[in-house]
Amino acid sequence: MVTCEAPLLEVRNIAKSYGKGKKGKEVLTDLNFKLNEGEVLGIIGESGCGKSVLLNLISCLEPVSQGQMLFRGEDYTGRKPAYVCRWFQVIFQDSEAAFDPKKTIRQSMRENLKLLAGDLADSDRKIDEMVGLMGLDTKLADRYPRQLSGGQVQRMSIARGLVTEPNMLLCDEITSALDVSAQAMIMQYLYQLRKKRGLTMVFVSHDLALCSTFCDRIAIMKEGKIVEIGTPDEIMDAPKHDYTKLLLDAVLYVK
Amino acid sequence: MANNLLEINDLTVTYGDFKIITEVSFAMKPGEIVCIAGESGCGKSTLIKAVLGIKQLGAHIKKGSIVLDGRDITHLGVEERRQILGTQIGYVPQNTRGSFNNIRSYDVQYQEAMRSHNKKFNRVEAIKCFDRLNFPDSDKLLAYQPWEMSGGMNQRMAIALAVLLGPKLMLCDEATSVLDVTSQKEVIEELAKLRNELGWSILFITHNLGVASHIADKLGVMYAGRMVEYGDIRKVLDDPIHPYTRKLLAAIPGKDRKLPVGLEGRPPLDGAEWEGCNFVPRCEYCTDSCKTRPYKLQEIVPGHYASCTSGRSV
Amino acid sequence: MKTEKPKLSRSQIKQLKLKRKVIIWGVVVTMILVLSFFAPYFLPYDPLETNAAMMRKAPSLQHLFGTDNMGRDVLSRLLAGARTSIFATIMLVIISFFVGTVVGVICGYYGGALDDLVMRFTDILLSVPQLVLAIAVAGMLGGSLVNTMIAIGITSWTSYARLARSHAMRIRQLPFINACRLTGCSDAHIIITHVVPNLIGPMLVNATLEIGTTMLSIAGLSFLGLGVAPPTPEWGAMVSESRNYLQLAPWAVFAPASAILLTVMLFNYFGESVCDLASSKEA
Repeated sequence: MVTCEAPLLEVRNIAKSYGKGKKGKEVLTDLNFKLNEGEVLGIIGESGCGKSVLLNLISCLEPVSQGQMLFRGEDYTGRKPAYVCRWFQVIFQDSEAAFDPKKTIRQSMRENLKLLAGDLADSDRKIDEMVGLMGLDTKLADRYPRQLSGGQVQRMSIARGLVTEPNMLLCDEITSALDVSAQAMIMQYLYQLRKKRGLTMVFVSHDLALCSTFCDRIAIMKEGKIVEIGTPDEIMDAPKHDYTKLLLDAVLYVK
Repeated sequence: MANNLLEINDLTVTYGDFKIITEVSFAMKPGEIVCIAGESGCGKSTLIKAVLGIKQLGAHIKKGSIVLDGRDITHLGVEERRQILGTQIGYVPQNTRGSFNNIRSYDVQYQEAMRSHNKKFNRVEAIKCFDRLNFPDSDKLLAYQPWEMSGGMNQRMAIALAVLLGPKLMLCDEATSVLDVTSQKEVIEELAKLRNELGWSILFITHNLGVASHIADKLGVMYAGRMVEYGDIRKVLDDPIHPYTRKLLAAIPGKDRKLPVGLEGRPPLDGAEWEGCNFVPRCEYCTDSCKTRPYKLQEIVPGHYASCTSGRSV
Repeated sequence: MKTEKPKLSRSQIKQLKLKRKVIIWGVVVTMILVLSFFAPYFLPYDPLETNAAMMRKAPSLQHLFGTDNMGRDVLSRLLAGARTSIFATIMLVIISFFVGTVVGVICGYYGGALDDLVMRFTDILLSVPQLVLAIAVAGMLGGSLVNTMIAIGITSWTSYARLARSHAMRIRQLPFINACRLTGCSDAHIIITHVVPNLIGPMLVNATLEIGTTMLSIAGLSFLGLGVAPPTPEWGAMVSESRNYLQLAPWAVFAPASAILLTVMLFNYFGESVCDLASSKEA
């Protein structure tokens, strides 16, 4: 692992609003956080708190209204997704829809490699390696997305995100459409990836219990603001903000 | 046992030619909350459809019987069925956004529902009911329209309507799974309260064992169309017998903040058609005999049934 | 347990049946196309040759469908006209399909001011009844086959454009397009390799359904005397010419009229079978 002076990702005072003037609606207000290399940041919030928008902003899929985003100290605010895609890959909640239904998984992955890494000579070996790393049979890569189960497609989409060796994965509710057993499988493979490759991640979810098992730090979001940020122990054992307490109280553990 | 509210005996349900549920049996006493848990495609929603018995839903009962309060309701006619739905069997669906008309006030929709069951709609009573359920602004609620409400509030309005109709048995099909965690907790608490105060019986279908553990008295675990374990909630959760139940519990993130353990593969789509155990492809304890031994739910401990005991730590 | 021979489910059997339908109608339609293409080489008589001795003769062994007012063989004219009618239709459908899809996809994918401009323009075109607009345009340009096609084509591309636009707008919002943007794909690349393959199916279905309507429009304009210039044989024009002496020689009207009816029907059946198959696959 390389340690840098500047954090891998820094978000400074970013805000996002839709519409203009009086009709405008602010969905994110004044967000700040830093993310170091190899760290996993969990972002927790209920629906409509703006957590998915935040990922779209970081990955430049949508422009920010205000503020700055820095990658290793370099300000990349206002860039195109094509510029940042070497650093970040986004994994979406609806993984089946994240693959072109008319192409096999391998074809979609090849496209990633071709556009990002530029060489195709080695592509099949790289794809097989990543698919294997996610614990899937390499033959499954030659199928169409709808021919795989939800958990399998989600693992494929993580594999696709990783073939181009980005610095960071942005995960948007990647397990919420899945059954618990498939969710647990994904978490295990992600954990192994962290151990093997020191992968940095932003892990957006609504499941506080799940995040507390996996993340280094957890940020609690409410109505477009981060109300509390801390390690799982701090958040789970000594929550400061009322909203965090409310969320924590609503987690239904199996008794 | 004559005093069972709901008895499901040896139920086999098909969609077209395709078996979805095979030989599911269990019984519910009045005032009990029974949870049926399982992952997607295990047939738990089909079970609800079979009890509701509405032909248009596509589920067809091939074998077995459903007995409600001593009366066999397996093959009721359309008119008789209509009379028991609502007044004897209430139903809270997963997506209440779809079950209320979005642009008509609750007032009108409540009236309509009550009238179709030959009951009088009394606003004062409705507001009393809201008060009892601790709804905020109870006196203004009826004037609202569903789109003005959050999903959680909508779900609670659906429950309140069911309360007014006063059924003996409530069926909840994933009633909390689309809600945010905070509203999920509110709805769960409301249901538990209704049981305690009104002696409701609830058949609660969920994929979330955490939810089940908070309200259920009995828990049934379904896998690929079969009930693999059934019993008192504490017995099932504290001493899971079937290998699948143990795997399912291990996959849930717990209080210890340890990474959950997953289960590779997926349930067989035609699992309900298999002769032997249909968990075999994913089971670490399976032997050759498992593939042929017919499925049977056995009473292992008094009040605790399972179809397999392999790998159980005693 | 799995048996040796896989048992087909009901939906699979239904799909096979639908597929068979498409193949049958496809063969019929292809036969018509081939027939109309080669027919002019096997004409019993010259379709333009008039014969004062044979005016308005009833169908007989020499003239299977009889002769018209000028003693021309109706069968020969029918066969010669098939090529004009059918190929003009197919060409028109292909051209408007292509133009409409390109415009629609670009508008739908990019949205914004360009989309507004183009869509308001199509609104204006569609606010005038299609046939009236076509008559006006054909009247201005003068009667010829190409001008007829232009007159109809001015409005017919809009339906393809609208359909392609709505599909492109839907596809644009799917996560896989975002995933593609995050691999650094250019917009052109996304449109060509991801958007178009995902909407071409329903577009083709629409095109096959449009063949019948387009053929009727062309025949209709010809009937009004705004299509091909006489004496070139064309079905719509043939009906128009012969209707004056309908009581004397009904065959001269019925033959081209039934030809139009039959062809439009067959193309519609083909289009509908394709449509059924496509929707059963989606379900």
